[in-house]
Amino acid sequence: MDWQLENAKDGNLTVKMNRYYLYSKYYPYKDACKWICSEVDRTASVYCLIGLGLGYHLKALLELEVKQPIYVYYFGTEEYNLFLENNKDRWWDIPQVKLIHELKGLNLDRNVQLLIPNTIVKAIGIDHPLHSILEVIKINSVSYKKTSAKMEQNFIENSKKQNEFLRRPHYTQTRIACLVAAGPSINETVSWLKGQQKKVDIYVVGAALKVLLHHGIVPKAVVLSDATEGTIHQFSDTNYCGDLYYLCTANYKTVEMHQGPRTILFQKGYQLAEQYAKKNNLPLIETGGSVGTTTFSLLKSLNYSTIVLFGQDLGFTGTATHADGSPSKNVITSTQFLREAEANDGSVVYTTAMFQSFWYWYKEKVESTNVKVYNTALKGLKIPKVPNIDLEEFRKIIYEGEDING
Amino acid sequence: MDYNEMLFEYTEYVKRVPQGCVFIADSLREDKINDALKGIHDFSEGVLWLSHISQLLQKENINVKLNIQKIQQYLIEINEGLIKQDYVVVADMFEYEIEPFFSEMVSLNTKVQ
Repeated sequence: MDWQLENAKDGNLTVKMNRYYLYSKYYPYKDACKWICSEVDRTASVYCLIGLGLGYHLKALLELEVKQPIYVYYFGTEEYNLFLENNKDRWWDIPQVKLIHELKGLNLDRNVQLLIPNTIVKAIGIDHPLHSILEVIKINSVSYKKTSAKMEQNFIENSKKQNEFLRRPHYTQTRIACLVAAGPSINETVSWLKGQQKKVDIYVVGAALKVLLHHGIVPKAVVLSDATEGTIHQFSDTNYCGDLYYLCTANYKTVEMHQGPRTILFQKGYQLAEQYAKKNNLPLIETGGSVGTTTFSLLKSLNYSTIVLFGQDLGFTGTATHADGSPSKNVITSTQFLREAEANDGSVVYTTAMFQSFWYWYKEKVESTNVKVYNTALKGLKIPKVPNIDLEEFRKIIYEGEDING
Repeated sequence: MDYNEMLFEYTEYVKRVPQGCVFIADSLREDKINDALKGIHDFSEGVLWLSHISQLLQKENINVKLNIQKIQQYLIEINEGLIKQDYVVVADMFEYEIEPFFSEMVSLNTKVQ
């Protein structure tokens, strides 16, 4: 880590970590206060602040007169010494505050709030061992903060509806589940599904529903997780009457548009959902941050033993992030903020921080499950232990399944 | 559009820029990066428009003082910050350089009126 102290315009010190300013070079402490005030959740049981720096974030947190314990993680001795040298009055040396460098064995309350300044994630760099986990947490917490009010409104409205609840079957599903997401590979592989749709169970994410319907494929179910009204376009003018599985925090207006049966899902990590599920003895779903990962969790809960991923590229060549005909399609005009990763065919493709966070989720889940998972996105990100299959192999998996089950 | 109308539109737009700068800076500091980037995009387009209108007005001897070189310097620094994704630098530029710059323009325009 490279640390550079500078004098800020207001006479205080500011600091650069690996050439990224941790604080404003004009009013560093005011900047830290603004961020802390916008971030802090007073209902948390404990705070864990990532990055010590000159201590401005810690000081700002204490100024809010929070009573909860505060852990502050520092990246190394250099950072710790820098902090000590510039805080000799030891205002921080109180029982409430613990400065830590070792995260292993740290047993924090479940209701911990992780405070991660965006600049820290950038500054530590992509090769730092903590980068991926901090980035995933940051992406998810920013996303939650943006939609938390909407999520609550949706939860209230959706709870009033006539819903089916998810019941885990006592048997293993014999049919193969095809999880269809809206990545660009579905442009090629949608024809595979058309030929086999009667032999497999197709679960499609909302963003790919119209793509399937346009090709004459009627999925068994569609999955909705997003809280925002942007999903209305995914369902409008479709007349689709199959099953809908939706998160309790999904946009309630979009849910209302659906004509067919509706099963409400409750997710881990969202307090209202957890409380409702506990009270009514219902299973919880992990969301993983996207509708695709939510669908994967759902399929595991429904006891499918084989899942084939369609359109779950998590990466792209060219400029299109999603399939043709998907309302989510974006055109990338600059490769500046993109990352490169290995695709299933061994080539290098682009991905984004958000897609990469989903990739990490899949990698972890596949590692710990007995479910057989296959991928069909040739130019999609390679997920360890998820073999890529072609059309012949897809047919073979279906026929083998039929043979086993008579 | 006649030149009086143009001058009016120009002046009204300049009045709104400081607020926009504060919005961008606050969004960056509160990790609302997408909102900030949209704001920065609108700001860049706005500056192009201001530059174009100021040239038209100046041709008609209507004096609107727009220090385009200074704005270009700001845009270069903002661009460097965006390339690195150093949003602290970008927020600082908007809050402590560009906002006062346009606020002063607004105040000068008000005095002239």
